[in-house]
Amino acid sequence: MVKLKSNDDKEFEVEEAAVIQSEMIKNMIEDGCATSVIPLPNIDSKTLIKVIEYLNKHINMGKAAETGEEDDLKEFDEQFVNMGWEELFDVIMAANYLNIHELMELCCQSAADRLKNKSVRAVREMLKITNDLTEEEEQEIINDAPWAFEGPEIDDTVN
Amino acid sequence: MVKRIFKSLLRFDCFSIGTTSSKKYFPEEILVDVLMRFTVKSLVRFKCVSKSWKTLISDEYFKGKHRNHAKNNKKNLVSRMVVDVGIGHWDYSCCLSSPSSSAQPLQKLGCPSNHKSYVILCCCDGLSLLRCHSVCYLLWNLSTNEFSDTTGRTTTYGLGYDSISDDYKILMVASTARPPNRIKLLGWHLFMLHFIGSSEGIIHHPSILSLHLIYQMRPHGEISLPELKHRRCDFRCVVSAFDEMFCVYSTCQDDGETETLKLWVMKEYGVNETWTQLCTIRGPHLLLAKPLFTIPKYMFAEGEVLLGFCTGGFRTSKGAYELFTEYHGRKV
Repeated sequence: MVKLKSNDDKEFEVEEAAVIQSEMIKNMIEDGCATSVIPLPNIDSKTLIKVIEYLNKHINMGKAAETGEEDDLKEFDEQFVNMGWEELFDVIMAANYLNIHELMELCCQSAADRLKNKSVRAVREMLKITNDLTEEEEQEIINDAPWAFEGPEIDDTVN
Repeated sequence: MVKRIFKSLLRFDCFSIGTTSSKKYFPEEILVDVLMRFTVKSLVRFKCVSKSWKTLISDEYFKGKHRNHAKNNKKNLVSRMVVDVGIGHWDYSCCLSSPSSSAQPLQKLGCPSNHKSYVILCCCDGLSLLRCHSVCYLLWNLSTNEFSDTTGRTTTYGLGYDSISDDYKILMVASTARPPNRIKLLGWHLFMLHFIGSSEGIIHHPSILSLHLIYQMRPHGEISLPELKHRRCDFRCVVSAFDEMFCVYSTCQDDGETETLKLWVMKEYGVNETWTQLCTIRGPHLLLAKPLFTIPKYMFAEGEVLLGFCTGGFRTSKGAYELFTEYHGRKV
């Protein structure tokens, strides 16, 4: 068992087989740096619980194909990313920090799926970006490719 | 230089995301990881989000990432021109992943430039070579509607990507002797293009484009064609369909209406010994508008080859291939 500590001082025990999906922790274990609790100053407990849930489910990734559990895992993944936008952001940041490739892939794809058909206004609002383009600059981009701003798929809602 | 501006922009919370507690930032590599999954249409639109997004999306490094991601996640698009009141309308459709599935209409795209009439010659990575009239050729990026024109005089042509030079090439046959056993090639190199998108027939991997088309005419020398026993065979050259492989096909009229089409690829460009016969299709009316084009468009994962006819329509060795079952309530 490996002990992880979130930035709000909560400790979690995770099986080594699960936790080594994180390249960062795997390296720490190999280097003998994981003898006691591993502090994770960038991750809060709420996010860490989600990440551990993922790691535990994907513990036997390699075996899933043999035992026909791929569909089950796929369904889990679909459910897993069904979370709020800010929660997803936190998980992406945690996955990036812990270097969990598969989780990163899953969450970035989900983020992209949510954003790809959004209007410019919706993207700015979702990512809290301030528009610093002048009206002329913006109009120029639109005039260059008006087709990119039209279409029934473009969604102006923020969620 | 661009890189440095971009980095300095990053320091000022341009990619910030607000949370209830505090402001957080998507680091550059994560933002790239998300954005590279977008379609070109979305990327072009999102240039409007902010200065830093515009800089990032136009950045060569990002274009490379986007292109590679798209290449590894091949999605084929098919488009078809529907002529409507004298104006060509392009319809994107997707998704062609097996010889047994058919495509659904996806989106419309208008005419390139002010050319009212044109013929699609071939496509590669969403880059399309059109002929507007006898000597005017137009290279068109369907995803961004950017184009560039050039002139030439030829009857056979090919458009392909060359990984060695990271460059697209248009190959043209300068002359064919009859019976043809050698062909002389002329070609334009198109430097540093990254294109995305779609084509009539088939699109391979969407990638993103940089706008500068630099043509350079170069003789490509001669290439020997594979040997054929049948004397009444006719060779045509195509390089577009099969990634990085030079491809020709021969067509022969057998007895009566039966025709044979043999598809050859040169596995290593310029090495005559590497001519390999890819497939043979036998049947009536293969060459519909002889001696014009029956063009190998695409090879499915299982090795099945999709042929496109210049008169429209597609077929595989198994028979007709319906790409568009229905469009706006009518058959096309």
